[in-house]
Amino acid sequence: MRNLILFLTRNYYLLLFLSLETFAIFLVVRNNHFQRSHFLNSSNAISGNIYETYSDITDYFSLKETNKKLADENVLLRNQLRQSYSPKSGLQVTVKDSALKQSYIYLTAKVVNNSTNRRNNYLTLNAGSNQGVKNEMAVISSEGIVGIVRDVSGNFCSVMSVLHESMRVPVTIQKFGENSILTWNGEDEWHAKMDRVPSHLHLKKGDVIVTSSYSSIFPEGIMVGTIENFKKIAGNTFYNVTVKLSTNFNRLSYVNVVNNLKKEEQTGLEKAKQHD
Amino acid sequence: MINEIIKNTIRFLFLVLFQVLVLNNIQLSGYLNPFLYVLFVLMLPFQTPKWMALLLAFIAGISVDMFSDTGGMHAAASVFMAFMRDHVLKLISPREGYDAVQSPTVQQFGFGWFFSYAGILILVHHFILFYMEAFHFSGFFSTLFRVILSSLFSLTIVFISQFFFFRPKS
Repeated sequence: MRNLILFLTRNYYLLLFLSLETFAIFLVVRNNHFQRSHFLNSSNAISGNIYETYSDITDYFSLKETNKKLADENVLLRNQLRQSYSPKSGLQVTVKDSALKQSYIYLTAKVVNNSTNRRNNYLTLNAGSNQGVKNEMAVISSEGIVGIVRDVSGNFCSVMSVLHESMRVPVTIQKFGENSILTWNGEDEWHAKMDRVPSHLHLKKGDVIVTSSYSSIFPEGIMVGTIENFKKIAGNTFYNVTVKLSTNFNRLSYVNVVNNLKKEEQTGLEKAKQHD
Repeated sequence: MINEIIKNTIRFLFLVLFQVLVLNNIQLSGYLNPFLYVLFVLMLPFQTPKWMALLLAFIAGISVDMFSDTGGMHAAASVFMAFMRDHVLKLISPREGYDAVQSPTVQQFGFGWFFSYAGILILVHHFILFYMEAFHFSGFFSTLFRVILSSLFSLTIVFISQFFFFRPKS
């Protein structure tokens, strides 16, 4: 016993170092888990509020750009209004939407913190459970997809960006309807990649990539990006495709959080299958 | 003594906020991420007990982690750096030893001494941080490249800050 105490007092420095280091590494490993630690992330009260104040100030610098983007989006939406379509040659068409049921609800939120230069990037939004945000909702901007909600507090949520090592987005090449999985290449915030695209497709640079119907999180047909480059792997029948992302992650300010009303039903059914 | 504590507390608050609000937003080609908050650990006075230096480095690291969603990466890197600091100080101690009340500054120990002191520790810190971020050794050299470039950048900022915060004593 005496020897043990002697050992402890003599090596307290090394032991303290080892325990702090272990604790830090434990936090890192836990952070990689699906349920990230609730305390140490940017959606907690202290850092969330500081970030919001900071973003309130810096928002003024990008007002001009944001205005332009909102105006652009207004034009786009106005173009889709029923009022902007005239009925075909006098034929009266009345559309009753009794056949349709709303399956997505959009919320708007402001980005209060954002990173693009790390290996795994996250955003913080100023909407949380009080505003109806829940875990695993999709986040999109007017330009394209942004990420998936990973952690929610009262008034903030933390979003795993597309620029994240473990992000997998089911996508479709719009022209062919060929499904694939989009992952980030980890190099810069402008590009992502798709592996194993069959090489019999006549791909062209500039082909549009949108989200596919296979995703239970993202609505179908949301813009993802365009094909910038594709390379055939020697001895293989697949292309490796580089995709230019349509979202400018450096300039995100307002985004939409998408609530898929039928998600639980779908994933519940799929989960039940897996148990068999 | 009290004066030193206040000075270091203010330095801590300033450096952590500057790091998370300004420097974390700097993006130069994805390779350069300066981490100036290590200056807090570098500048701790010599009389700081070794265990306290470890704890303070841990707090500094975990504060930066809290803002950047990085779990405990910064904490791990800073604690390791504080651990090495003790050894590095012994390794490169000047002949007459250290005066207990001093902080390690360029003005008091000269350019060469400070360069090796800060250089080694920043390299150690960035090495741990970037490899922990990558978490595997594939792409070893591209990570190493990031470590070296970012270390040089941080070192430059640390040097510049020396001339801002510590007036030469005449």
